[in-house]
Amino acid sequence: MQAAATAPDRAQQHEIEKSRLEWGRKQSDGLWTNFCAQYEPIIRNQTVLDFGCSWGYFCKYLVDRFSPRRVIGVDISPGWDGDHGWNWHEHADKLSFVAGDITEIDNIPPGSIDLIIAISVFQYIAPDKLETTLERLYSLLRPGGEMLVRTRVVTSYIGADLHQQFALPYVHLLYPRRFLNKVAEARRGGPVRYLNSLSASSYLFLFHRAGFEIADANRRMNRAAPEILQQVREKYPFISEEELSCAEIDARLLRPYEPDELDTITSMTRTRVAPGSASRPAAAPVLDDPSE
Amino acid sequence: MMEGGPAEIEASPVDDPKRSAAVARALWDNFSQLKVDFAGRRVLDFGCKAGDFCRCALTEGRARTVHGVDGEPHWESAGRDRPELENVSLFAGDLLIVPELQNEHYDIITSTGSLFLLRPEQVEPVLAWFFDHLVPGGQLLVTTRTIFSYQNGDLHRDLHTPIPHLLFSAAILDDYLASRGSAATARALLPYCAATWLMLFHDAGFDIRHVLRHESDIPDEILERFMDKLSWYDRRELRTSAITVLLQRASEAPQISDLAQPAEAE
Repeated sequence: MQAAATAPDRAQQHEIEKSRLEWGRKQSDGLWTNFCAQYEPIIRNQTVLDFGCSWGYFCKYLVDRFSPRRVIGVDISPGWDGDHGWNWHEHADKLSFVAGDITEIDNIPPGSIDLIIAISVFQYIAPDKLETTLERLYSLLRPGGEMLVRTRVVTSYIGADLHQQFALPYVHLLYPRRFLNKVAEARRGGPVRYLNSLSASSYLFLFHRAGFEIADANRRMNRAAPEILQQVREKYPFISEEELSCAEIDARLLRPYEPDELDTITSMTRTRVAPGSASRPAAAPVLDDPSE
Repeated sequence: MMEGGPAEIEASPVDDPKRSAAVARALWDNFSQLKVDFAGRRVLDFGCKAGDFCRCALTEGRARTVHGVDGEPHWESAGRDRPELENVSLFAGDLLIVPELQNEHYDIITSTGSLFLLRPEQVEPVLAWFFDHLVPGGQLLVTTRTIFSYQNGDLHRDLHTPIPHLLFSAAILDDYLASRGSAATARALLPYCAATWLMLFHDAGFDIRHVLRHESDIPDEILERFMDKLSWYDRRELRTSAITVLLQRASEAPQISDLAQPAEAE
C-alpha cells in the first residue's frame, strides 16, 4: 500500500512541476488572459520589464506572442539558466535577464522602461524594502509608462503558500505567525515562508506614496472555504468585509508626468491641475503652507 | 468592537510641560475606556517621552511599578527632572538593548503615539519583544496613528493642505518641504492602515480584545472632492485616523497537534 503524500512531498512535487516549460506556458497564458489582458497593455515595440520573473516563462511568452522591442526579466533568484526545456539565449536579440536586487541593479537606465509587470512578488518583500523597490521601479519607467501589478495581500486564504503545509485555509489569520513558525520548525526544520502583513489599503497607499497614479485597482476576493472565512470574520469584526476578504489586488499604475520645476507647485491656484497628475481630476489638490 | 475616542492622537509635546501632562491625561482617559485594571501591576510605557503617562499609571491607575523607555531622554532635554515619584523609572535607549529591561516581565505594556514612528524593520522585533516580556495573560495597550491620519507625520505643522500625503507622492512633498526649509518628511509615518496594524499585532502572537477606531475629522466634502485619488481605499480604513487596541498574550499557547497537514486531512 502506498503511503499518502506528506506536505513536504507536495511542496517538492510542485517545485519540480514549476521547473518545466509546459507548466510555464500554461501559467503564462493564464496570467495574460486573466490578469494582463484586462488592461489591454501595448507590448509591440515596447520595452517591458518583468519584475520577479523567476524562470522567465512569462518573458518568453511576451516575446513569442507580441513582438516587443525588448523584454527584461529581473529576479533576485535567477531561474532562467536552468534546464527548463528552453534556451533563452536563442531569443537574446529581444530578451535579457538581470539577476539581483532591483534597488541595487545599475545597468537599467532610469526612464527606459515602457511597461513593468509585477506578478505575485511584492507580497514576499518586507515593507521597508518594498518602499525602496517601488521607488526604484517608478524611476525606471518613462513618464507616462505603466506598471501592472498583481499582489497577494495578507488576508489571502493561502497566505505565503501555506496551503502546502496546512490543511486549514486562512490558517495564518487564525493562528499567529510565531506559532506557525514553531509548527513548521517542528515538522520541516524551518519557518513558514515570509509574507508581509500589508492589507489592500496599505498596498494602495504605498503605490501612491512612491509616486504612482492609480489608474485602476480591483480587489480579488477570497472565495475558498466559506465556513472558515466566517470564522475569520468572527475573529476580526473590527475589519471591514472589503478589506478582510481581499485575497489579491490587481492594479494598473501610471508614472505621471511630473512638474518641470518645483515652483509650478507653489504658483498653482485651486482651480488648476495638480502636479504629477497624468489624468485631469475634477478638483485638483494644491499645496500651501500655514505661512501663506 | 468599540468606536469613538479622540479624533486624532497627539504626539506628546515634550517641550511644553503643561501641555505634555494634559496630553498624557487625555491618553490615560482614552485607555480607561478599555477598563484595564492597573492597580498593583507592573507596567512598561514604550515611548514614554517626558514620563507623564508613567505618572498617570502610578497616580491614577495605582500601578505597583512603572518603567518608561524612550529613544531619547526627553525628561532631561526638556529641562525637567525625571519624575520624582517612587516606583517610576525612566530609561533612555533602544528597547531591544537597554540592559535594565531585558530581564523584566510586565503585567501591562502601553504605547501611545510611538509605534507609527518606528522604522518598518523595527516594528516586528518591538512587537515580539512586547510579547516575550509580558507575563502570560498580560495586556498590551496601543494607540497608534494610521496612514489616514490627517496629521500624517505631523505634516499639518507645515502644510495647510489637508491630507497632503494622500494627494501627493512622498517625493513631491519632500521636495516642496525642503524648498521651504522644513525638515519634515512625508515618509515619517509608517504606511499602515488600521487593518495592517491589527494583522501585525496578530502575527506577533497577541489576541485582539478590543479595538477603538478613532474617526478622522477630515470633512466629508474634502474626501468627496478628492475621491478620484481616494476611492481605491476601503471606506472604513479611509475614515480611521488612529486606533486604540487592547491586546492580550494568551495564557495558554495553541498546540502543534491543533493543525493538520494537507495530506492528513484527505
